[in-house]
Amino acid sequence: MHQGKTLNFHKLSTAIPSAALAATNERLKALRQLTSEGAKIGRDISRLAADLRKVAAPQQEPFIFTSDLETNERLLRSILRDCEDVIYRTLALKGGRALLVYVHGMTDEAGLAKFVIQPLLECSVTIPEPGADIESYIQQHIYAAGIQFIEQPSSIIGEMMGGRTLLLFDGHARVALIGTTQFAKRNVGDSKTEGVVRGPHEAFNETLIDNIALLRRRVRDPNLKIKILNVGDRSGTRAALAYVSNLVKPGLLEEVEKRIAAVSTDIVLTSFKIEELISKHPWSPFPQAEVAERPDTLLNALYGGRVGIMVDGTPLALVVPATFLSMMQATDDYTTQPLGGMLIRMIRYLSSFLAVYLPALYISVVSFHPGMLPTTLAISIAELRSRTPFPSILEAFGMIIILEIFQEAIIRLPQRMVTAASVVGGFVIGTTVVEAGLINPLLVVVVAMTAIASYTASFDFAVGFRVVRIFTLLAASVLGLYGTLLALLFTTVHLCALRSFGESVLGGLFDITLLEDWKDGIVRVPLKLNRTRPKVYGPQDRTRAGDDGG
Amino acid sequence: MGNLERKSKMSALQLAVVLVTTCVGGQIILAPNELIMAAGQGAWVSIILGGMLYYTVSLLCIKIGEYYPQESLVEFFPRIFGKGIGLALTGWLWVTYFILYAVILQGLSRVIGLFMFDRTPVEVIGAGMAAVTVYCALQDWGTILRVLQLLMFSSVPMLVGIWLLTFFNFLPENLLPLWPLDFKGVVKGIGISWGMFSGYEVILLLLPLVYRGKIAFAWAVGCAFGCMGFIFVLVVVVAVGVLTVKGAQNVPYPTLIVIRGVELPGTFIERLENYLLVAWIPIVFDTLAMMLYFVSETCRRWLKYEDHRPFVLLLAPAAFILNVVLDTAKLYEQAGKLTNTMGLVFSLFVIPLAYILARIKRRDARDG
Repeated sequence: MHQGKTLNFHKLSTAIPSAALAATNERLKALRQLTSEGAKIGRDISRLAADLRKVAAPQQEPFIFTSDLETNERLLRSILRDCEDVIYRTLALKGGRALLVYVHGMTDEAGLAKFVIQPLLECSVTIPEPGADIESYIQQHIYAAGIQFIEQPSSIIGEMMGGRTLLLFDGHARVALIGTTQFAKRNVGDSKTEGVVRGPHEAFNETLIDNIALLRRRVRDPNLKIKILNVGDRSGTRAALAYVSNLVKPGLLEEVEKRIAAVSTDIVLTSFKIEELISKHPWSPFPQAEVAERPDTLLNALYGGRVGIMVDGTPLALVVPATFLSMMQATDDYTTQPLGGMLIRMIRYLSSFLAVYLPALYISVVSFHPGMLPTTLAISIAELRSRTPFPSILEAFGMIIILEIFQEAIIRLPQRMVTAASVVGGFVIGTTVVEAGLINPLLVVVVAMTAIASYTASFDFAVGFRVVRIFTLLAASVLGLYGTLLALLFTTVHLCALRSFGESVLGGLFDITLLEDWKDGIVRVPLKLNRTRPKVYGPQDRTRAGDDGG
Repeated sequence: MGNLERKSKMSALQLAVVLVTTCVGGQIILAPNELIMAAGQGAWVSIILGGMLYYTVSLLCIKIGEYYPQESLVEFFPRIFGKGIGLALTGWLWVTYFILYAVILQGLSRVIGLFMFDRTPVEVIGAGMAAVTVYCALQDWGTILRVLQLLMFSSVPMLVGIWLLTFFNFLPENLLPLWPLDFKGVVKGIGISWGMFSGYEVILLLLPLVYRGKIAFAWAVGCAFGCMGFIFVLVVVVAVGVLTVKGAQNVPYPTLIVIRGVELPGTFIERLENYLLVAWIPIVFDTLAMMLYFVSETCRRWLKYEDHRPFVLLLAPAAFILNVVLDTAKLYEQAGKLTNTMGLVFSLFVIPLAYILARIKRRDARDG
């Protein structure tokens, strides 16, 4: 097609000298330097602006609002530099201008238009003169339900970032905060961690206000108090302390508040972070606060004299103090017949014991004390063991590690992969290791029993069990039954020493000063026979009945 | 902090639990042989009379405590006997308990070694228990108290339950003649039974921690002695009923030999002595932890420290070394006799004398 023609290709730099690689690199370097200097100048300007703003501002405040709307807008834009989701909407009203500032995506814009912008634009009343009462004007002409006037600029900005709208008027330094919060959130759904057969199914979600409403909807008691705190120096996460004022143990609320106030961290995204930061024994494998995902669980705890801590962004509320007994109770204990509930509860205790000590007991008996077994069973176990190359201790550790890997994989996997992983783990590996003669089938049964038994306790406690199980297995592999007992004693002392807001986690189990609590302890008697609140939590009123009010 | 205090105070009933857990320890397996050797058929009478005697002494302890409220023996002994003698007598009890810790630890190690790990050095067995008792004694009193209660209500019923299985081999005629003819042996047995009841002297240290409630101290301590007496008599009576006096005298640990002979046909349970040891180990642990706490707390009060824990860490290795030193049968036996004698002297002479002097001083003070 191009026969007879010669095509000559030349470098681009031949035609455009400035496109030479060296020249381009030179220009790129200069550009980088300019960018860097620009950023530096930007930071310097911000710092200068911050210093200038601070001249008149009180301590700990970034600036103060003035009566000049333009200055206020400039100050806000300076503070909220590079926050492109913040919307500034100026309104020309009769007698002056107003400025609305809100965060896009966190605010109900339709509601804002209908209940704030429209009434203001249609308002025939002139904006009050500078220095006159602007609050009455706002209260009279805005239809929005929640209007608040706060002094501190840092709080105002924090509230605005949380979804409320700022309303400023020209000639007035007073700022109104309008409750227009609306953001994407999960609906109230079923509990993911606290399954229940006959009880209510509603569970908390990630929105603090919804969770508080779930509590209020169930109890119309004015003594149920909610105290909001901000946690996290940068995140300013809202946490709510829930308690019943005439029941809560004296001193407990103050202690919880004190510990939360002492929390020093930048961001709080989960309630567990608070749990860890307010706990006095962070190295313990056991939880020091009970977790409640369901409003009925939390309310039960509150009406026992305890305090709940709900954190915005987490569907799991914390309950303190927490004891072994409280963590072993479940809603179904109270939604079935007392005898059935008692049986379920006893099974849970037995399961907890097996979850920790079954592998250690197996190792102890099989490796150290086979004489404790009937002769026929001892012979058949010996015969099974003779087919596997490893000592029982290695087999047990191997199986425990495989179990831990399965559990971790199943938690991390996408839901659709879980079934496949379970099949691979349970049937393929479980059967194959036995058929290949690597693991004694009896040990597979023991480890499977251990795993199933550990699922009966709450997740937090089950994690603690997993740690103690390994520790106990080590002790059993060194000193057999005696080692297992030493590990049990060590764990018992640790759990008795472990305190959750002053209460021993395990020490109350057979404390004779708390004998009255037996009715709802290891056993559960019919409600007609149990009309008192647990003594262990020190409620102000132990009788389960109404009060005189207040 | 409202009622979020550390809960170091206890009720009279809790004091009773502490007494039971401190006294019912190693001796239920270690002591019957010696007791039956001395008292023969009348071992059970020695225990009952011994129990009544030591209960009377414990009542004197309570009376002394009433004369000096909110004070322990470290504070009131020097006031009763004078500074030097008071200190020496407190030191006497301290030394008794310190040696007793080593003796019981050695006894436990020997029993575990003999029945569970015949090829494991007893030092290894002792070290394991010593470590756990140190961990317990390092806790505050409130925690120790709760551990004692928890183990008492879980291990003692288990121990008694397993022990009751020995009735399958029990022959009542072995107890005959029921009433002893050897009264000298019975009297000697009362002295030996101090080993079984040893530990009740902790009352002198713990009384300031007991708050007064509806239940009188004397009644609570009486319950404790009743409970202890029941367990000890049960152990000795069954041992004699199964093995006969001669048989029990010829075996070092009659309790374990008796339970070893029990067979439960149709069940998968074999080697019942291991089950008994499983129930016994936590009870010995209680006793050892309590004794270690006692010697450490006494040091704390002597030296007016805020915390007893440095003394636990200081004394535990020394007590463990003493336990290792007692590895020969002769030394072990002599140490046991020494603690028994020291304890008897303290119980039968020092405490009554302290009571009389305290009473005189109080009368003098009242009369002006």
